[in-house]
Amino acid sequence: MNTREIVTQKRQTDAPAGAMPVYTRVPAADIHETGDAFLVMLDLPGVRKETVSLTLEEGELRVKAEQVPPEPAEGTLLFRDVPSGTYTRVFTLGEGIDPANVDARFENGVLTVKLFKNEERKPREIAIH
Amino acid sequence: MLVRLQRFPLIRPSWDSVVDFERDVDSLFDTILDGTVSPQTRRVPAIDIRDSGNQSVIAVELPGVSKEDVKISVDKGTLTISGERKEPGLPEGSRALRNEISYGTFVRTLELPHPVNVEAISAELNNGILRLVLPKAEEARPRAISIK
Repeated sequence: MNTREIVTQKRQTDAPAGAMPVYTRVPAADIHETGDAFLVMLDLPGVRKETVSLTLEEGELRVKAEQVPPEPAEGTLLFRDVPSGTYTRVFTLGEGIDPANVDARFENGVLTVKLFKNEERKPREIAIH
Repeated sequence: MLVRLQRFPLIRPSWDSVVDFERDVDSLFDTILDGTVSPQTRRVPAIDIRDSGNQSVIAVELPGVSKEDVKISVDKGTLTISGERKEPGLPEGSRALRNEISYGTFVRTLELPHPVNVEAISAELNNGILRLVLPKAEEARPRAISIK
């Protein structure tokens, strides 16, 4: 996989004036290459599985997810390290990935995407006759 | 926007929190310039604190951490959340191409915003967020004063 990425940086300009700004967080990611696949792991704390959208199109893997906003009953904010909002990240994929063979799971706030390699990219043992 | 109120300072600022602070500053520029928050992996987990009258709620970001690996303790008004994020099991011979997530131990210590009924603290870990509900001690609850 080509690990060069394009990170979408779009400002929420259509929000009404005075509204709380919506921030786009770029989730931290790990990428590993195994024998037959590439594994992309993304930290998406505070996200429900149903709000994660994962698309593979024109050689790009796009991940989008919404953080669950705290309920008003939770009270007023006293302190915050990181603003909540939307997670977005786009990875440009190189040659050698089989787009029909992708597997994803979401567990403990971590999304793991397994992109299988094309047959011709898989390592193979050559028998000696 | 980063909100840093000095009311809940880190009690023991560690080197990790200095590194995180530098990241926060970098990230602040990104936020100002284009409205994004940079990819960041924190050694000191990010938190937010909310107050709803009779209790406060602390949310801690702990993606990839199992319930069994988190320890919460309260000692004289100091709350400590510590634990370990274990590395995911990867197949033999795999090769890292990008490494932004940090694994290993983490700790966050903070001063409680008010006296707490320690026996009634509850905690749950869901989708990578640890949610701590801290009921206020009787003397810290808001009360109406009647005028005689």
